[in-house]
Amino acid sequence: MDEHELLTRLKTRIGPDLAPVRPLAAPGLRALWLLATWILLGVTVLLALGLRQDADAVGPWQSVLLSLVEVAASFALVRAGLRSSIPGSSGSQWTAFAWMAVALCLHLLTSWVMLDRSDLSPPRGQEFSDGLRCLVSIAALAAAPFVLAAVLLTRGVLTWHLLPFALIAFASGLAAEATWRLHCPYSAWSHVLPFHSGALLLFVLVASVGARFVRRSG
Amino acid sequence: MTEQELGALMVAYQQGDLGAFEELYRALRPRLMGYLLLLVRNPSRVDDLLQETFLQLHRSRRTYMPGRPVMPWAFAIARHVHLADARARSRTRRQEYVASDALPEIPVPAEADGLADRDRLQQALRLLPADQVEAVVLNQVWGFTFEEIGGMLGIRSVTAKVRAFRAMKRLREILGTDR
Repeated sequence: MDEHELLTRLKTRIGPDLAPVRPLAAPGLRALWLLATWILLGVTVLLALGLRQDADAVGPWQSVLLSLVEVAASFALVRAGLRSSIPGSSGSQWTAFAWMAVALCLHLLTSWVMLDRSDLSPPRGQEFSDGLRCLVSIAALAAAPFVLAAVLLTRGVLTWHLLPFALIAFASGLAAEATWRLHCPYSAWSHVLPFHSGALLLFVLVASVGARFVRRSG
Repeated sequence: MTEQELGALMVAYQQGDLGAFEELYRALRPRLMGYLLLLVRNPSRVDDLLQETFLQLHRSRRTYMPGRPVMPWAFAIARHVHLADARARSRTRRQEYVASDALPEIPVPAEADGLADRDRLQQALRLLPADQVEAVVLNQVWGFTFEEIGGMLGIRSVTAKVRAFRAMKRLREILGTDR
């Protein structure tokens, strides 16, 4: 196919679809949508369920501050995920893994700081039911922002199949955990690790694989 | 055509200017074709991939951010088209056997141009791993920075640099030069 023939063929294909388009906003700007959603969710949880009952021991502002640290990490993660869908701007896969590892460490560190100030555990006999409530709530809080992030992500060109979805799922899960932590008073490792950290990791697994599946079959 | 001119054309193209697309096509086609040849090494596949690259470029034109270089963006889309095609082909388990005389010319790195004659260089490049050839050609032939190459290939810039360095080192060994 010579140069002119291909050009003619392309003009025929794209001609009817040459409406002006607005360039995508920078990933950081688009990530602000998620930030606004997370903050809105946090305020809603606080208004509907109230601040954790051990807020005096932890310090109300310290509770909020620790959650904001996790939200800031989520913002960085979602920005990295959205950036990876801009052709020519992909970070390396190792960088993506490093981002997630750092965010996980931050989550464990904030959990440890909380535990240091208040080591409440669920009442005996209610460990599993309270834990399950936390797990389900974190997953539910993460779902809507994840869908929004996935929509923003798929407006770009995805060269990796799983990692961008894993990044935004991790960000959504982490922000949801930060939100839920404002209400849940239990900081004991026996509760946080399986039901908070567990919810986060389970959400990353299910959401990223699910989003990839939906995208492939869509 | 400079990057600034290409950027101006891309902005006009995003605003729906068909003339801008034609000019972009003329400017990008030879370079994208060379890059796709480097990736697939099969001339019969390149026409289809080139067409698909321009269609994908059209569908993704909103992802170009004004003010940023056009070439790394376009090359990354070409690479994405190639990878998607390769994945689809591997899924359908179709194998292509390409006769060695049907292989196209691999672009020759500028630094390596003086090392030996072209044919020997072509042969030498074929002996190198594909990822090293890609890095050295993107850097030496098309002049991309290692940071741009990292962004295109989804690797760290230092990894791109190492690949190009190893390719040049290996080329010198194969061609028996000390330069």
